[in-house]
Parts: sequence; structure tokens; C-alpha cells
Amino acid sequence: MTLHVQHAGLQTSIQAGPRLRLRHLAVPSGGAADALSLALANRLVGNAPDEAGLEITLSGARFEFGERLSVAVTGAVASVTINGSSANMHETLRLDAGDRLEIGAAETGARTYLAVAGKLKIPVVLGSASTCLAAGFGGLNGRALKSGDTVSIEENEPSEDLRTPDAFRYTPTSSVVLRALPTPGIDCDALFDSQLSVGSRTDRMGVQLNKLPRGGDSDLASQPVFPGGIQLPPDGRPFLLGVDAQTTGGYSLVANVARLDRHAIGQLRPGSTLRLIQRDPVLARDEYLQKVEHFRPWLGEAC
Amino acid sequence: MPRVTKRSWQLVGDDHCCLELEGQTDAALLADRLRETQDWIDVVCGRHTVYVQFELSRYSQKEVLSKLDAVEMPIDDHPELAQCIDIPACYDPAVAPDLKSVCEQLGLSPEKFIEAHTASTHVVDMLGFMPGFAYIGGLNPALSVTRLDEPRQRVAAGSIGIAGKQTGIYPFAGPGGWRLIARTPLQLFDPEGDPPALLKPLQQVRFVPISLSEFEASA
Repeated sequence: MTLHVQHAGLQTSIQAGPRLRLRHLAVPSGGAADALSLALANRLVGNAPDEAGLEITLSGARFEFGERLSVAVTGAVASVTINGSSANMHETLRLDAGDRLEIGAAETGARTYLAVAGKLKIPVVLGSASTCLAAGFGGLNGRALKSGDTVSIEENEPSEDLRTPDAFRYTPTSSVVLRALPTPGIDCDALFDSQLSVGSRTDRMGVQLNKLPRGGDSDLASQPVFPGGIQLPPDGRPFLLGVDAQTTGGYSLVANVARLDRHAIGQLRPGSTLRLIQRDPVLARDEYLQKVEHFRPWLGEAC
Repeated sequence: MPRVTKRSWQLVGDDHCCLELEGQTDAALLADRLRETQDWIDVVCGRHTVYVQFELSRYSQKEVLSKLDAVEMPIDDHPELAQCIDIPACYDPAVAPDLKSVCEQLGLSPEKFIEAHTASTHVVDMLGFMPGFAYIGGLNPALSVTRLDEPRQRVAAGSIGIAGKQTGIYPFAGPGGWRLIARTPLQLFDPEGDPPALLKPLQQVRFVPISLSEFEASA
């Protein structure tokens, strides 16, 4: 079975779960920038939560399917059409051989996820099928998809028809609140007190925020950093690290987005407004456990 | 006085924590020990620090800190260093675009530069930046230069650059700001390899000069 990429758009790549236990070799975690949305899409087609799917960035994309199968679309809000007729996000969609699925430009949020019933035939490299764009491995030949590419799919029967129950829908908005923890001993009130905005530099490596009154220290020794970290370079423009962030950084690390909200970083886009609200570690964990519990009936452990 | 003073782990964010250590050897040895347990999502070394990321649904922060504080610090004054790796390095200007300007800046002939860069044994400080990229310490201070003012948009895979007190080797093509003084045909990172990265912290490295034709034959 096959999926043909008719129009790949700005950046469409194959993403699954992150690569774990490899950051000491400077391998970025990677995986779906918004892992929750990928899990929700996979749920609708009977796949495991971190099964490889397509991550479609901002501009939309168009695909044609070789055979009859089920797909689902979640994440950034976008129009979905099958052969030109409107279809819904957050529902199992049944396609026939030759059907064209078009995903429009993201209206709110940055990344839409397309899950396909059955497995994409993508080799697992270093523990994941995810595309590592910086080093060119994983996914389809280690790169973003191009118009004209064909992705093979394991033979499978169409899955049962599902709709994401309202309680479990995640719909990215243009005004985002993230819970975060200040780095102990570092004064970064400006980061928490103000309405922040997302600059034009946004990709899977991270998101640049608007300039703060004061920059961070310069000439710091490089230290390990993790997705969700917020660096403050001397120029005062905070950089929020995404899933493909480098494993070390030499800028002042002023805060970290809490585990439970990290997937939402993948939905920030130029012009999004952002407010960070302060959490202490214990509360941040309690809220994370509540979120896992909340999604458990629908997603199992995969939040 | 003991070489390693007992310090405690500090939380950074809600699901990772860090420990500052006296030395690079301590950090690398402790990280190796922690990685063996498979308890942690990731264990990453800075030069004098170890960072651990943990599964927040599995452990409370309190449990993690007491678990980590109970880990004995490996003390080894004479760590068994892995055998020195020879890195073939072609210093021909055809593949070393900054060698000439670096030499002019330092007031050295290319021959003297190559002699100095290949004479000493270098030691890997840490990995970072891109898969398999090693920050290699031990650069002869007489060869120290600053980074480029404007990073290059594209540096060829295998490029060997210097900046400050370090040498770095780019495993993949990509942007980069180090001054490129040589290039190696070696593959620094192989996703199919075990281990995938050629270099690791504390690994000793020597650069061995090769000619342009040798480079082209093995690249």
C-alpha cells in the first residue's frame, strides 16, 4: 500500500516517538514536535501512540493514496478535504484507492499530524523512525518529504470509525499559556511577568521570543540542555528549545517549560502570543500526573 | 583532601537535575555509571557537570534526588583511557578554507601550524551541537583563535575546526562558526554503528596529517 506526496508544503516529515538515551552522543530527542497530537491521530486509526505519522508544518500538504485505507488528522487547525469535499479533523477518515487528501494551511497552531492505519514502512534507526533532519537519518532517507515521494504502508484492513471525544481533543490556539519553572538562583521575572510573542525564527529546534529588557550572561561554558529549556542570550531574545534542539548550549538557561506542556511548544508559530506561568516542581508533577490520568481512558499511558 | 567533595543534585525544571563536579573525569565516569542502570531517560555530561533526565510519571523529584545522592562517586585517579584514536587530517587548503588566514593571524607558517596541531595528544571534553560532534580539548595555546564573526551557512562533513581552546570535527554538513583548518575522511557518526559515535568524553585523539590525494582516495 502506498501514500504519494503530491505537494509536500513547507516542511512535511515522518515523525514518531523521540530517540531516548542518546543525548550523550549529541543526538537530539526529536520525534513529533507535538507528541500529544500524533498520539491522538494514531488512536483514531488503531495505531500505537508513537507510531510514525506525517508532521505537516504551517502551509499544508496534499497526498494521494494507492489503496483503500483509514487515516486521521489532528493538531494545528486546518481545512481537510477528500477529493475537494470537506472532511473533519479528529475523526477516522476512510479513503478509497486514488483519493486525494488535502490539508490546508494551519489556521491556529503550527503542525498538523496525519496518521495512517497500518505501519508506514520506515526503518527504525537508533530506536525511532523519526526523521533527524540535522544529521540526515531516520524517516524517509533522513530528510523532509518532497513532492513526488512515495511512502509504503504495511498491508492492513481499514480500522474502526472513531471520533476523538471532546474531553480528549487538543486544539492549539494562537494565544498560549505554558507552565514553566525558573532556574533556581536566576532572576527572570521579565520572562514570567510579560506577554511574550513568538518571533519569525521558529522550527523544530526551537522558537525565538521577543526581546526582553535585559540579556543573559555571555561567555558561559556549554552545558547540557533539554527540550523545553529557555535560553537567554546576551541579545535578550529568549530561545525556547524544541524537540530537535541541540544537546548542549552556551547561553544562560533561565527557565524550563514543565513536562506536561512541552508538546505545546510544537504548536507555537510566528505571531503566537505566549504567557509563562510559574510552577514549582511538586505542583508541576502533580499536574502532569493528573493530565496522564485524564488521557488514560483514551490514550493509555501515552500522554 | 579528597579530590571529590560531596555535593548534592539540584533539580532543573521538573524532570531533570544536575550535579556539579570538580573535574571532567569525575563527570564522565559518573555519567557512565548512571547510564548502566537504565533508570534514566538521558544522562548527559557537561565539562564539569552531569545532567539526568527522568521519567516524571515514574518517580517524584524527591525520590530521584535521594536515589541520585545515594550513588557512590566513582573515584579513579588513573582512569583507564581508551586507546588514542588517530584522526587522519588533510590540511590542504583545498579542504581547509581557513588554514591560510588562521596562520596569518597567528604569524605561523602552515607547516609550523600543522606540526603543532599534530604534535600534541588532544582529549575529548564533551559531545554536543550535532550527533557525534566532539568538543576536543588540549589545543596548543599558540594555535588559539576566535570563531568566525559570521558562521558559514554550510560546512562540509568531516571538516576540522578550531575555536578558543578546542578542536571540533563536524560529522555532518551544516552551518558552523569554527575556523576550518583541516578535513578528515573518517565517519564520525554512523547511525547503524555500535556505538554510533566514534568519539566520547575523555577519548584521546591525535591528528595525523594526510595528503590531498590520500584524503580523496579514502573520502
